[in-house]
Amino acid sequence: MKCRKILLNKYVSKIYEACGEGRDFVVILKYAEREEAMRKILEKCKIKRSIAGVLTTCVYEAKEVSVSITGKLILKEVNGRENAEKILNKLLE
Amino acid sequence: MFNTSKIRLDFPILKSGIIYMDNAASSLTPEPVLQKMLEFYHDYRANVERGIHRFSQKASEEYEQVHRKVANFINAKSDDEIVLTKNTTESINIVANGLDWKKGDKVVTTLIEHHSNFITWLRLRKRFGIKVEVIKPDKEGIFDFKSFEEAIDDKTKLVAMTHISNVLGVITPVEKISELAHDHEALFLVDGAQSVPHLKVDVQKIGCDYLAFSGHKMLGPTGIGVLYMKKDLIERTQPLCIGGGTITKVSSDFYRLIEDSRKFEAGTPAIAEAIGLGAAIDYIARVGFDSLMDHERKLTEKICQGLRDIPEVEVYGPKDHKKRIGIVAFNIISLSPHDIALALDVSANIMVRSGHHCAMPLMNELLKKPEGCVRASLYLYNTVNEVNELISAVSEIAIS
Repeated sequence: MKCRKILLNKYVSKIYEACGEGRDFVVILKYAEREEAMRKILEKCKIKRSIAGVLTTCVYEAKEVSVSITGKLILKEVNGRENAEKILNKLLE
Repeated sequence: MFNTSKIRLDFPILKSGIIYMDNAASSLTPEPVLQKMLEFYHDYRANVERGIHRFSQKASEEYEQVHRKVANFINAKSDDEIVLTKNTTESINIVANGLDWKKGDKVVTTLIEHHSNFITWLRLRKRFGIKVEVIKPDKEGIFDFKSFEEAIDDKTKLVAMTHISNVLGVITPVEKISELAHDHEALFLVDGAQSVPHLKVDVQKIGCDYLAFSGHKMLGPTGIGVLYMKKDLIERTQPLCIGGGTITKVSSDFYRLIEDSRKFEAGTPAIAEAIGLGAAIDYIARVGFDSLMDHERKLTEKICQGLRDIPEVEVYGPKDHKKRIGIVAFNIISLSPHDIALALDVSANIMVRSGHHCAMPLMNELLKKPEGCVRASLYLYNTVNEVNELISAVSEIAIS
């Protein structure tokens, strides 16, 4: 738990639940750390498609993740903030 | 002649190159409105109705004048029918909590309501045992009048419905429904959050008993809204809050409320915001509603047609442009609405909204889209070029 908080504190600026019933979570990466964080995330995910050259949709442990070049992520259908943080932590390890 | 280029100069925020199409959530605010609010803080910053000094007098005059401007704007019979509130939600809640509900009373509402005009009634069901009947339109948001004839009966105390859906952009037949409600001696509340900024709304023509709307969707600041209330309902409707500014007499064991609409404006109001709302009304009046509506109609036709021409795109709401305004909800098949909105922002500087738009019953039960949709919503400063850019960006996202 403590380790998870350290990683999230290092890379994540904000996490909030997106509007809709898909239980999607929006994650804003810290500006200074966003490139390193995005590299770690994309390395661990299976890439599905690139949207308009600015958004990459990929899959991690059967969950869809969208990664924008601006350092914003959307974690899809993760069912709760606790789960969102767990997945994010694994992606940022 | 409607001059978008000239209008856009009043919105310096647009100079950054953004394309703002999230107007159904909140509009931008023009400089004259901001200047008018600043003038209050710079030149006569004081509380209203509480002092005899000149700043208080000036602030009071400006604040009271807003009631008159709003009354004229919606063609209310008098400024006493205007209550300044925080927003549409608060206005609706004043009505919901201000009437004398009894078990068995009925509220008729619709499936296309914003949550603010929906859960308020469900809460009354829980609290007082009232019945809530929800009318369902067809998939485009068009109602069969018969459904209202069947639902509204002599037990109906209130019919509460939106004038324009905040998702589908569909305009509802409020005048006809008002007549029907009154035939059964029911009250009629209209949620005008999406209509008052875009259409010439006339409360006498509609015949509604209550009309709720917000300043921030019509070029005004946040934190100010309106509840129009027919004069003969002021006594019958109890205020949500009471306190300073709402009484005629208080003793150690007694108080008497003012008998006019000031009883609904307890405490120090949002003075600068009210003054801003007044300036927003002046701004819209200067532009002229007829030309504003004409401009938005042209953009609406273009955006709907352009999006419908993209094979991967589903557009919701009426196909007949006369039945709608420039609130255009859509999805790209196989993409999440949040992905589309994010991609539009990052790739094309276009700001739209994604999700359920505070209308979950509509999303789930009518559109069958629990994940939500994307919503582009237009206003007077949007241009044909911007609409073209949106269509082209959506097209690019759809094929990528």
